[in-house]
Amino acid sequence: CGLQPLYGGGEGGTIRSTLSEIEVAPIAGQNGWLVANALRDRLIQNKGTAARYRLEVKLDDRITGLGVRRDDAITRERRTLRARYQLIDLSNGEVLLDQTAGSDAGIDVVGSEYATIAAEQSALERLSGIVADQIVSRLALYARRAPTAP
Amino acid sequence: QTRHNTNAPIDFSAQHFEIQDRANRAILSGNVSIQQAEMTLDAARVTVRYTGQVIDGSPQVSRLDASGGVFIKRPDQTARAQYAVYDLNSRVITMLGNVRLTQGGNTIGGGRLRIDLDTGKAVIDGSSVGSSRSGETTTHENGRVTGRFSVPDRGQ
Amino acid sequence: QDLQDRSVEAPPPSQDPLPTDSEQIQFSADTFEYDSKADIVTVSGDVRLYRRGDRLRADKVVWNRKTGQIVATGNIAVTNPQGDTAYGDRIELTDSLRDGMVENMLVVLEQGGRIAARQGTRNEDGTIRVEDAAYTPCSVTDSKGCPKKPSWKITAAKVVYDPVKQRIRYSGASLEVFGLPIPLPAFSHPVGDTSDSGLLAPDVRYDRVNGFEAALPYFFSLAPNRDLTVTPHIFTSALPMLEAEYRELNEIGAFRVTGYGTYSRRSDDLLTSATPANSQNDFRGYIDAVGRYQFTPKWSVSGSVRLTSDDTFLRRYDISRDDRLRNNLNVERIDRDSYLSVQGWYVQTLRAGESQSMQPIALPEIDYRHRFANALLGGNVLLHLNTLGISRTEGQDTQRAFASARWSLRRVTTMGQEVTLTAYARGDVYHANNTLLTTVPSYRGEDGVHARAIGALALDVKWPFIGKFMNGTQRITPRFQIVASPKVNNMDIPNEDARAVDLEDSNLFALNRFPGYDRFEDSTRFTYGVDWAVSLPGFELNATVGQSYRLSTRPTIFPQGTGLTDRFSDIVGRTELRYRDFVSVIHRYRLDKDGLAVRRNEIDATIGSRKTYVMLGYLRLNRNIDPSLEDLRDREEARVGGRVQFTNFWSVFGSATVDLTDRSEDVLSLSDGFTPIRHRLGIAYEDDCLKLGLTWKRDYEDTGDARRGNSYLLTLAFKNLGR
Repeated sequence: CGLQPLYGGGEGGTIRSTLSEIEVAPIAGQNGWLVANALRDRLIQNKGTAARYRLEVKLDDRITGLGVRRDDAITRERRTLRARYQLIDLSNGEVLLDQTAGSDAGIDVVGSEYATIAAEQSALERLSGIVADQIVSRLALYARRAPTAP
Repeated sequence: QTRHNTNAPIDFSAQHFEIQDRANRAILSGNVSIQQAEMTLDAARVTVRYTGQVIDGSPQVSRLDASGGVFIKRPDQTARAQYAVYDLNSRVITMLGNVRLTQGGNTIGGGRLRIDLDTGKAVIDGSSVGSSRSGETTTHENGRVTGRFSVPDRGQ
Repeated sequence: QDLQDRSVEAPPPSQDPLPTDSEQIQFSADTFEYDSKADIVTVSGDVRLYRRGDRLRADKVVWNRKTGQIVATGNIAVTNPQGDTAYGDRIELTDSLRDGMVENMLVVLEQGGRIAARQGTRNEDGTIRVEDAAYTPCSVTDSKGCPKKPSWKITAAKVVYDPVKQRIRYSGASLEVFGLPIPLPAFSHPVGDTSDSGLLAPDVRYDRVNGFEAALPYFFSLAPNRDLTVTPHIFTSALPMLEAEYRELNEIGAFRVTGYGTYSRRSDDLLTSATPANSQNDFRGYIDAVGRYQFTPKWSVSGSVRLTSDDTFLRRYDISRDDRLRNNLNVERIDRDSYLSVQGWYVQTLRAGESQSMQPIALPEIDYRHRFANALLGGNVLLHLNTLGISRTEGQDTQRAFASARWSLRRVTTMGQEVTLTAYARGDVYHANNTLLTTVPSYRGEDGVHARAIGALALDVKWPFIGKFMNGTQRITPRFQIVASPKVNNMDIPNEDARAVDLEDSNLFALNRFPGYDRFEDSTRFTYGVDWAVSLPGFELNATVGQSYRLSTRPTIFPQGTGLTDRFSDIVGRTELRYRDFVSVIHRYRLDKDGLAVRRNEIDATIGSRKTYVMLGYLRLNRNIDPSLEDLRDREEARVGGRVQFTNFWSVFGSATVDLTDRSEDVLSLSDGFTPIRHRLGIAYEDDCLKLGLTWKRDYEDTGDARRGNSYLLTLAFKNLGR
């Protein structure tokens, strides 16, 4: 059914070079720092390349309580990290892509409160990697379809 | 604003005079200037009609028809239009076509102006008869009267 | 007085250039009469007067220039620079066009809202005095433009608008809601968006324990950036409670402090339903403060304090349903490549059967990360330093410090494979004392100082393929990972932060599938999975599934039942399906590797539009983890919520939470498999100027003096009252 590698062959090369020309704008907060650096890791930028695009991301990070016991105690939490991101062409300021990405992770509420807080922190670090993966693969699809760079 | 004496003598000056005695009429043209008491009328062409009687040597004027950039000046009031008719019997001046009346600091534009020299009442409305060239006038094609009035300073 | 719109149009701005000299009135009309003797100007025929931004339209205007009096008659409309338009039959003004008297007046405020009156006078300084007036912010025409009665209006014998104080004062007033008159005391409210002191909308509620409750907030505007709201809560069958909220904002940050206080009988023993007779009235309260200050683009401090006098106060007065109150102070320094946080945690637990003295206090926790891009052999290095001090008033104390470095190199092969090579090294040192006080043996670790060295190598390969799929595209990404990590002595290290262990799709490919740092998975394993993403016009599907296989045969330290104990792990996955923004279903699951029994099942579905929708949530944990662990219990729960908007103003909403846990899941559970926890049902009317709602809430369980039973909440909010 006509499957071909996304990053395969010569065309894959142009996608990679386009991705490496995307500069990730700083994102507020600790979750912003984690997502921004996860994105920079995945876009594989070597020092030399000049940025031709800028990626701006806004995060929505939320923890909801589930599994309510008879005495109103919460036994399970879910951390949801959603990102709204825009790819901006630095030459004319035009917004090329305006999309959302996001995922969630479950956390057991355990007896020690600090252990629950630490589990929420680990969930955030994993979610920032997952959201970065979603954004980069969507950018790659865009770079593949967009007219080849002039 | 004193009452204008329409019986006062009228002095004429113009570049050309054409007197048509049989029709009791004279046609003046070429920056015509007419003076009566404190009122002056300037225009490009003025047709003067006489009543036919002559009192102490000067013929009695019944009506003046002026056209072409008519400018009437009275103490603290001036009016400008394309045509003007000064009917001395009814003592009414009617002006038509891009009328602009200025009174003290105030200017009013309209299609037609009627000044009653007895009561001192001036009425302007928008029914313009003559063609209204744009120029500097403030009249609008839709027959509106517009203008500006300054508020007397009461120093409250 | 008729609040409906008048047929006359508001005077449009003049086409001619307005006189710059503010002493001149520009006008236009059909006819103009000037009686020079009496100095009276009469203008008639669709007259328009313009002066200093004020505009007047009338059929006829007589202006006596000697006395300065202007009388306008017939279909009058006056618009001021702010855009408010006043209509009337007869207006007497002075030629400043500002003051004067209007008959049968209607003022339409540009910011919405309108005042109609039998007679209105406005004098030079701008105050408007209106007799037999009516004010409403509501729209007076329905969507098809036909006139309708406003949802509510205030009628008054006299209304005075004071532009200096920006307030409207009413006397002899009554409030009419849907035609039902309610007499009102003389009162005033601010105009425009300046916030000013005054009453806010009241809150009325009934519940079985406290009886009727009326809360009347009074708002003090201390300064544009500081305000205080004091709300007395009066109850029919409990002593009154006082609530105060102070808020302050300045250019580098803001903070808010809210306090509650009352005297009433309480019971700390949560399991017995009746309040014990011997508990006497004493002080009960709750304080909730939150603040954040950004000192420089890098440095910021944020904090939150939440403390209550006893475990049931918040539920008894329905202030909050939280069962844990987190207190945190966090100093952060964030720049592009480094993150530093110095913070402390104290959590007050309100949960039944949990003793506060066993709860850990984390002080300090210092976390420093620094990312070096292209630092070593073309890969990135993340340096991570962390120290943590845990103390308990009557329990184990633990201190920890570790330093770790993580090198990762990402390349894409010409065949399109994303290859990531990772090397991870960490050294940590722990100190713990009186570990025997910790009930769960596997959490204790051993007293004294213990050090540990951790290493891991990982190779991760993702090979995304894309292609056509019906009229959209699909992307299939097989993923394979191999991780090698030598044996680590985990068990004599105390376990403070790695207790909430559960294998799921988000941590399947993590280097260490324990949360936190105190436990490290020292196994050599393959992990494999596949992502499948389909996007058709209006339809989106994302599915991922994976499993891991452990090469080393050493027994692992994962608790039995977390899906990671045998060599083959359980199968975990997640499916997300979205159809336009009408249907969204997310399913997360863990299947037992032998026999595919469902160990964890979480389904969330939302169906419907923004106005009318149904939300369903289902959670089932069937892990059978050893009860000696006290944590990671099994549960089953269903949640449902919904809203139906049946006319463009009326809507019905409801939600319910049902605990389906029974003996098969949790041996401690007393329920029979269907125990509703709480539900909420309500009906609401909301239009552009009024929100009216009645909510019935029912709690099925008592916790101490917060007894079960029904409570009814009436919400009545006037929108844009003080516009």
